[in-house]
Amino acid sequence: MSSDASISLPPLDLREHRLDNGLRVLLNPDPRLPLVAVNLWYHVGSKNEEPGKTGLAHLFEHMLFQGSQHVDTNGHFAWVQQAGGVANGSTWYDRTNYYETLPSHWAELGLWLESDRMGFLLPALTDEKLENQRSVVMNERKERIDNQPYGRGFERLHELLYPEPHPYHWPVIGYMDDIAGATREDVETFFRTYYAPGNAILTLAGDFDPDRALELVERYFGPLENGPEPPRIEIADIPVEGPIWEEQPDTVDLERLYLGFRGPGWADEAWHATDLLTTLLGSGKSSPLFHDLVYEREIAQSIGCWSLPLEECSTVAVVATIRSESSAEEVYEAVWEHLERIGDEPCEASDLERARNGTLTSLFGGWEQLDQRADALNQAALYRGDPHTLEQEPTRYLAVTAESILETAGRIFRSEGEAAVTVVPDDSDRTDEGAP
Amino acid sequence: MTVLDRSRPPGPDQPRDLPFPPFEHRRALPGLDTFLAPLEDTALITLRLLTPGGAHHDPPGLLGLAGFTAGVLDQGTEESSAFEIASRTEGLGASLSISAGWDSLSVELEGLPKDLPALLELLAELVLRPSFPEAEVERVRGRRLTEILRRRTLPGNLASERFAAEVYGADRPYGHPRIGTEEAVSRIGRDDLVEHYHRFVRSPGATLVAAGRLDPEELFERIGELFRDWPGGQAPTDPTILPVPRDTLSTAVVDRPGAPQTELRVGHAGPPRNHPDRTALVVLSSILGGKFTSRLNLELRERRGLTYGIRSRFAGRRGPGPFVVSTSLATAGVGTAAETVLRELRTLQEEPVSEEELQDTKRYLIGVFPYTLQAADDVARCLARIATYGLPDDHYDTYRERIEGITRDDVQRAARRHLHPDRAVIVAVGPEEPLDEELRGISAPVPP
Repeated sequence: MSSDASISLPPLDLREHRLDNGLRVLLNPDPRLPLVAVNLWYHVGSKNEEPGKTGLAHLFEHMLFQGSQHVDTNGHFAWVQQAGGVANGSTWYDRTNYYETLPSHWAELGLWLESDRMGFLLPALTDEKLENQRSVVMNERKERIDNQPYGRGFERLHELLYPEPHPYHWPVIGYMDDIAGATREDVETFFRTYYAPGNAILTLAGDFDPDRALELVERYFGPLENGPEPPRIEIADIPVEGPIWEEQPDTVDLERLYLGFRGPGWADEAWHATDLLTTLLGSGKSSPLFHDLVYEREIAQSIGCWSLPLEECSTVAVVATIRSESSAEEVYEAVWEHLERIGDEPCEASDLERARNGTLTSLFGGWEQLDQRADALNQAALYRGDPHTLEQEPTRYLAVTAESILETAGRIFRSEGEAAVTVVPDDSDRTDEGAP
Repeated sequence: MTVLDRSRPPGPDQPRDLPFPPFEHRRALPGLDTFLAPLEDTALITLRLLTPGGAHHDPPGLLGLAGFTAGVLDQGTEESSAFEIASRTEGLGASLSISAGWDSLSVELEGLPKDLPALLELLAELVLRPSFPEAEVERVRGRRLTEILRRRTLPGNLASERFAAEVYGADRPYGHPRIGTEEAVSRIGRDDLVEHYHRFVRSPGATLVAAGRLDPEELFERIGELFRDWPGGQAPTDPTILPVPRDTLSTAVVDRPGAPQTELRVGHAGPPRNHPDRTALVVLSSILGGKFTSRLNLELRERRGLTYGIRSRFAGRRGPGPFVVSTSLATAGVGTAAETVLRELRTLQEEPVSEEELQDTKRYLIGVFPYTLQAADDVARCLARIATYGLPDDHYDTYRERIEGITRDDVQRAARRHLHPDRAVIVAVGPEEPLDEELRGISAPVPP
């Protein structure tokens, strides 16, 4: 299928602009459906926090849904929903995004809402709102992490893989004490430092007239003043001193292994090979890790291998839930057999084709969801400087060879660079009866 | 240039309509119906075969049988091994998922349009010629037993399972975990799987749904050829689902010592999916706990900060599926949350919703319709609902009109008929002692 003509994205109608205040604007008109995705990326994430004040970027994201000078406290969602739209935001290590997908005749509403919170947030900020959202976020952390079996596994892996003061060390949601301690002053400073037009990219994708859209963007965002250039972060590149092995007791019955390495970032030349490498190894029932460990040897209940692309680098991980009859040590040894093999001998052509075809299928599937496409455009614009690079994604994946997989695997899967966290049943606080 | 007035939101432009895409509904064979939706410009193609073999048929001693059958279906056919099936699917970049819901056992394939012929052949092979190899049955059994073990530690799962058991009975359809119990899954034999397959999967009453870039004529003909051996006759009858009779509010606590939060469920049995009040219930649930600005979310999250979120839903099932409010929250807030939920249910029965709330909600539900139809798989999901719940073919053509037609009276009438705060089940999973305290003396608000 590698030479198939259907393996390309539709031609990308993409226009780029920059307003005088520094806001970058990407317009991707596509009339297929009567929808418009309004998607705003700010170049700030948990990476911009400091130890002791973790979770601020995410808490701040919550505050952006609490109204601004011209939008009531619950007005953001209320306005979007009465229009038949959906809205949300998310915080990640390197960026924070805010988005609405609206019926296309309501596109201007999205611009009104986003420009109001970009330009007029602080007049609407109150202690009461902050208090409330601090509490919501603390509940969010409990729901997603502290009250979930294995909830702290990935968090601990990142702590080990990125020793302090590396800014990928702490979790995006932050530590509980830090969330509890966030002050109004912290939030205001954060806004003034990072939430300026010059630190953001606005993408519109979907059913709109680009000239009219640009006019509207200019009307709503043009008058906003740019702020000072945000401080650059110095990344202290402290290497992992692997191999690290750590056990983490938790309320679980089955052990789970989190094995991690650092890989190349999303904008790196080697990213596509890294992505295919991990998909090849652990995605699907015909992948070597699943077939050998879950199916043949029956030592793992489930296994996955993936690469999490960040701006500075990526986290490459193998995560396996261990069968009761086996142990994390046994699975760890078995995983390493595969990691070594793929760094020693060229992979099977059929394995590479499977990984590539699966990746391209999801790429095409994601492309037709407007909110995902707008996100992808912003990601390419922010990390690679050029959203047009998305047009070459299929070609870049097709260019990955068995040799580049071999080379990439050899570079990433090194024992000196590895960290492993095994989540194990916590026997210490177990009463003998009733406890699941 | 005039100064921009930001104090009021901009209004809408001219709307552009998106009708639900046309599709062909034709019976291919006496026992096999088809829904085929040709869609231009969609990236992927979806095939879904829905068979009557859902978990509602699980016999009391063999709970988990339908799910087990689904788990073995792609583990070997007369022609191919488990590995060959996975390699073929994944080699095409396609994804295969076989699962047993309550109402049906379904096989779903999603891939590139050019691979439609290959995907259809694979589908036919899986459902017409599975071989249930002994060794694979044992492998799947091992994985399912381990999965049961894993789920025992998931608080949300514990809450939902206990809630279902309280509402329908622990060994009854809708009441047991679909994965089954350790005991039953250990006992299920190959013969049981084969029997379930012949009675309920390769069975009359099946439907094949396809959506994406396809030629309906060509596909229809090909389905007729590939599935020509599909049995005809009478489709199996649904089992009768009888919720546990209750006339008072009841509470159940599952102890998780030291848990930092509590998982809470409040609800009771509701009407089947094809009940005429369904449209009013969609509006009602959206107001109560469906959308972000729902009454419950605004009260418990945005006003009180007790939770990250709270949701309500009427599950869509062929039988009387549950109505449930779910949240995960600080244990110290459980009493307040449970009382708030019961009070809001009562309020919906006693007071009509405001005209503004009704109009906002209707605008939301109507406006968001195109957003839910972006990909071929989205359209396939709608067609699968028409087939599973026996809805009229124009269900989605008239959906927005029906929402538009709902009045404040309709919502209140539906609340009176389908909400039962005085005999709801409350399930809390968290530290027992404080939870007993939180739930002590809790009662449904009395009607005036």
